[in-house]
Amino acid sequence: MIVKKITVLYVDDEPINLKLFFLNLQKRFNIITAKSGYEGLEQLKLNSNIDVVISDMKMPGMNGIEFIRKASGDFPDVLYFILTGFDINEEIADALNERLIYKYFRKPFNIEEIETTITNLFR
Amino acid sequence: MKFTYRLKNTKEENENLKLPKGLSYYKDSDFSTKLRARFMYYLCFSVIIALIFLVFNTSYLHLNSKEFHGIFYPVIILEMLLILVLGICIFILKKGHYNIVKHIFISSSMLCVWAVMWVSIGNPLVRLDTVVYILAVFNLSSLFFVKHKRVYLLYIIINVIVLFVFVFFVKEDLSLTSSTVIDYLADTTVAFLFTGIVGYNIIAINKRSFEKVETDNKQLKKTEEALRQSELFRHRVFDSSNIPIVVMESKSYKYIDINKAALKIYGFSSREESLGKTPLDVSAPTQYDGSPSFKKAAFYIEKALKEGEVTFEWLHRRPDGELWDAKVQLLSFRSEEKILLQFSLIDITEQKKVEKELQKSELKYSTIFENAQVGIYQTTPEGEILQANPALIDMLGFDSFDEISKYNINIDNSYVNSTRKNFIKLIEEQGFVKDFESEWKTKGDETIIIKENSRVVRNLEGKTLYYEGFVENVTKRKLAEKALKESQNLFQTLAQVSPVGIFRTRTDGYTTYVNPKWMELSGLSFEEALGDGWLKAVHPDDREFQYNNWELHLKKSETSTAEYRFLKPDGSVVWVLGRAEPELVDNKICGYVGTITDITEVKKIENELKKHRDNLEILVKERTEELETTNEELIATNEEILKQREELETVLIDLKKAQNQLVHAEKMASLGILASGVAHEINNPLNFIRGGVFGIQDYIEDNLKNHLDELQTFIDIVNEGVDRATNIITSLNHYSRTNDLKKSICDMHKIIDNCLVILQNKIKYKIEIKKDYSDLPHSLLANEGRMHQVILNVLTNAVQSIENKGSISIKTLNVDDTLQILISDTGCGISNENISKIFDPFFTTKEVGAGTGLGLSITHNIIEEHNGTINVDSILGQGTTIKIVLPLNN
Repeated sequence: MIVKKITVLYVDDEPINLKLFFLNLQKRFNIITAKSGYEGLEQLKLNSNIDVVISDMKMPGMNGIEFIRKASGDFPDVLYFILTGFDINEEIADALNERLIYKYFRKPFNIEEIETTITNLFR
Repeated sequence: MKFTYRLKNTKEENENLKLPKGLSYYKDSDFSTKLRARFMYYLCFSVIIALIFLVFNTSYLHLNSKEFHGIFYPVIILEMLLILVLGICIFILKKGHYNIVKHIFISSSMLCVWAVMWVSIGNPLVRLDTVVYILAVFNLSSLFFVKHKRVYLLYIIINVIVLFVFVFFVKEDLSLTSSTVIDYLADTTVAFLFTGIVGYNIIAINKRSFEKVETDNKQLKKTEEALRQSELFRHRVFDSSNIPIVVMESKSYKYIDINKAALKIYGFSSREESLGKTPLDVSAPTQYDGSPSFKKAAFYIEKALKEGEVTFEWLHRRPDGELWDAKVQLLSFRSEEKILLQFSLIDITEQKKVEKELQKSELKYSTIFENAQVGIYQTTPEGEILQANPALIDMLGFDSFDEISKYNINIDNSYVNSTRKNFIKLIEEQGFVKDFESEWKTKGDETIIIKENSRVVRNLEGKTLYYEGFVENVTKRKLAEKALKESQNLFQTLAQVSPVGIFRTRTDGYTTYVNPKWMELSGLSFEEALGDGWLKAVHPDDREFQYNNWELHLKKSETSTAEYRFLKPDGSVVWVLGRAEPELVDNKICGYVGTITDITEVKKIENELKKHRDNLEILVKERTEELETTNEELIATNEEILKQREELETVLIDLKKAQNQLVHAEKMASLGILASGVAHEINNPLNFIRGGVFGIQDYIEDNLKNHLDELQTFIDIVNEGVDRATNIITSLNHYSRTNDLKKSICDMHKIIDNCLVILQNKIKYKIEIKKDYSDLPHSLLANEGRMHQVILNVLTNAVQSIENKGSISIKTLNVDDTLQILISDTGCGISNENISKIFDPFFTTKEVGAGTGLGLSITHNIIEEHNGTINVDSILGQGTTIKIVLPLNN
C-alpha cells in the first residue's frame, strides 16, 4: 500500500532550525521550509500539496500567528501548528480556541512528538 | 207671640184660597185679584159649557121649528166663535194677563150681543134681550174692574153709540116711527147710563174701600213689626245687659224674670233655678246694721212701692255661702194690671273691701306719720304749718306741734337765702319738687341742710290748698360728701400731676381708671385703656408674660411688681416698672391700685451696662477660647509631632522594607527579563543540540548499529543535559509572563483536589492527607492554571519535605473577605537562616537536579499578582506551614 507522503511547510527565521527539521523529518514527510511568514505564504501558493504548516512564533516582520491567520484565509484545508520556545501566551491560546492552530509544540522540539502527532492525524 | 200667631193666620187664609191648577200664576197676586181671576176662570168655563148647550139648542130649534128653514148659520157660527174666544181667554188667563182677559171678555160679550141683535133684526124680543144682555154685561163688568174705571165709562159710551148707530140703520127695516125711535133710544140710553153710572160707582166704592183696607192692613203690619222689634230689642237689652236686673212680683216677692248678668252675680246655674226664688234666698241673714234681712227687705219694698224708687246697699249671699255687697236700685212699675218690682244691682264688694282697706291704711298711715324718721309736713303757700310730724318738729328743734304751728316759714325766715321763693315757684310750676335741697334754720338758729320731696294739693278749681312732703336732714351726709369731694379733688389733683402713671382695676383686672401720666406712657386714651384695653399698649413680646403675671397676682392678692414695655402707637418703646397694691375694704379686696414708673432711661443704662458686661464676657470667653484652642493646638501639634515621628520611624522601616522589596523586586524583575531573554535565546541552541543529537542517533541507528550501545550512553547524557536546561528555561519563562491572563471564578477545593490527584503516585503509601475545608462557599476570582501551579508547587515542596512517612493537613478558612489556605506538613522544616530566602529564585535545599529553586519564587509572584499574601511558618525538624491568603471577589 503506497501511502502518500505528507507535505509539511516549516517556517522559522533560524536557518539551523530549518536544516535540522528538514534532516530529521525528510524521511517521513515532504519538507518545505520558509525563513519568514512572507516566504511561507509564497511557498503555500507555489506548493498546493502542502498539508501541514508548522511555524515558529517569534519571527521578524510577521509572527507565527499572524502568518497562520493570513495563510488560513487562502488555504483553509491546511493544518496549522505553532512551534515556540516561549510558554503559551494569550495569542496562542486564542488561536487554539479558534481552532486556527491544531496544537502548539515546544522548543527545543521533540521530533518524535511532531512526527507522531502529524502521522496520527493523517492515518 | 200674639203677633206672630196672627201673621201665621193670615198666611194660612191666603193659602186656604184654593186656586185652580191652571192659575198657579196668580199665587203671589193680591187677594182680590186671585178671587177675580178664579171667578173669571170658572165663568169662562161655564159660559163655554152654556154656549155648547146653546149651540145644540139653537141647532135643534132651527131644525125643528117651522119658523126657521134649516140651521141659521150666522147664529151658530157666532156662538162657535164665542166659544173660541173664550178658549183664548182661558189661555191668556192662564198666562197671567187677567186685565187683558177681562177686556176681551167684556168686549166679545158685547160684540156678540150686538151681532146677534144685528142678525135677528126683525125680532123685537131679541132686541129686548140685547138690552138686558148689555145691562147684564155692564153689571158683570163692575165685578171685574178694580182699577181703570174710566175704561168702564168708555164701554158705556161705545154701547150708547152702537145703540144709536144700530137704531139709525134698522129703524127703516123695522119701520119705526121717529117718536118710537126717540123713545126707545132715550129709554135704552137712560138704562145704559144709569146702569153704567151705578156700575162705575160700585167700582169706585169697591176700589176705595179696598184701598182703605189695604192701607190699614199695611199700617197694621208696620205697627206689628215695630212692636215686635221693640219687644225683641227690649228683651235682648234686658238679657245682654251687664247690669244685673231682676223682675219680682210685688205681692209674693217671687222672681219672675232675671237676666244673665243677674244669674251670674247671684251664682245661679240657670234661669229655671232662679225663677220662683225670693230676695231672702240671695241675702245674708242679717244686714250691715245687724237687722234681719227679711225685715229690712220688707222695709225697702214698701218704700219702693210707695215712692216708686229706692236705692240702698245690700249684703247678699250666694248659694255657696260667699258673701257679696251690692248697690240695689229698686223700681216699682205696673204691667197688665200687676205691680212689679225691678232690681238693678251693682257689685260693690271690691269697693267695700277697698273702703275697709282704706280705713285700715289710714290707721297705719297715721302710725307712719307719727313714727317716721323723716319729717312730714303740710304747709300753705302762705307759710302756715298745717301738719308736722314729730320727726320734723324734732328736726327743727321744737318741742311740740303747737309750738311749731305758731311759726310761719315764709315770714320767720326759717329758709336761708330765700330758697322758699324758689321752692314755691318750682312746686307751683310743675306740681312737685324732687330732692329739693335747701338750708333751714332751727329754733336754735342752727343751719341744717335738708332735702325735701313735696307736692301740691289743689282743690277742684285748681287753687292750691297746701303743700305736703317729706323732709330729710342731710346735713351730715352733705358734710361727708363735701369731705369726700375734697378728698376726691385731692386725689384727682395728685393723680393729674403725678409723675408716675396710676391705674385702678377691679378684682377681675378690669381697668376703671388711669391718670394722664399713664396715658402718656402707654400712648392710649382714657377710653382705650379701660377694661382690658390696657393690654393693647403692652409690647407684644411682654403681653403674654404680663397678662399671666397679672393673673397670678390677682389670685395671690398681694403687692406685685413687674417690669414691662409699652409699645406706643408711634412705635416708641417705653419701659415701665409696674406696682399694684390690693385695695382693701373691710379686709376684702375690692380692686387694685397701681403705679407705673417710666424706667426707660434706667433700662437703657442697664441695657448699656449689660451690653458692656456681655461684651466683656464675650471678650473674656473669646480670649479663653483662643487660649484653649492654642493650647489644644499645641498639644495636638506635639502629639502630631510625636505621631509624625512614629510615623516617620514606621515609614523609615517601611521604606527600608520597601527599599529592600524594591531592590528585591527590581532584582527579580531584571532577573526575570534577563532570564526569559536568556531562556529564549538558549532555546534555539538547545534546539540545535536536541535536533543534532536526534539526527546523530538516527544516523547511528541506520548506519552504525553495532556502535549504538557504546554511543547510546553519550547520546543519553546529551539528552539529559538538554532536558535539564529545558526545564530551567521553561521555569524561567514564567518570569517573562505578563499579568494579563484571564481570571475566572475558581473553586479552590477542586484545585487542591486536582493537584492531589497529580501528586497521587508520590503521596501513595507514604503520606496521610488531612482535609479540613471550609463549609462556606467562596467566590475566588483567579487564573485557574496559575492557582493550580501555586498549589502544586506548595504541595510538591510539602511532599518532598517528608522523607519517610508523614502527613499533610490542608485547611481552608473564610476570614472576612479572604480565603485562607493553610498547608502544613510534618516534614523536615526550614532552618531560620533559610526561611528568609525561600522565595528567592534559584534558592533550593534540594539535591542538584531535584529542584530548580524557582517553585516558591514563582508561587510568590503569582500570589502577589492576585493581590494575596503567602507566609511561611516552619520549625526545623517538625514541619512547615504555608499560609496563603487570597482576597475573595465579594
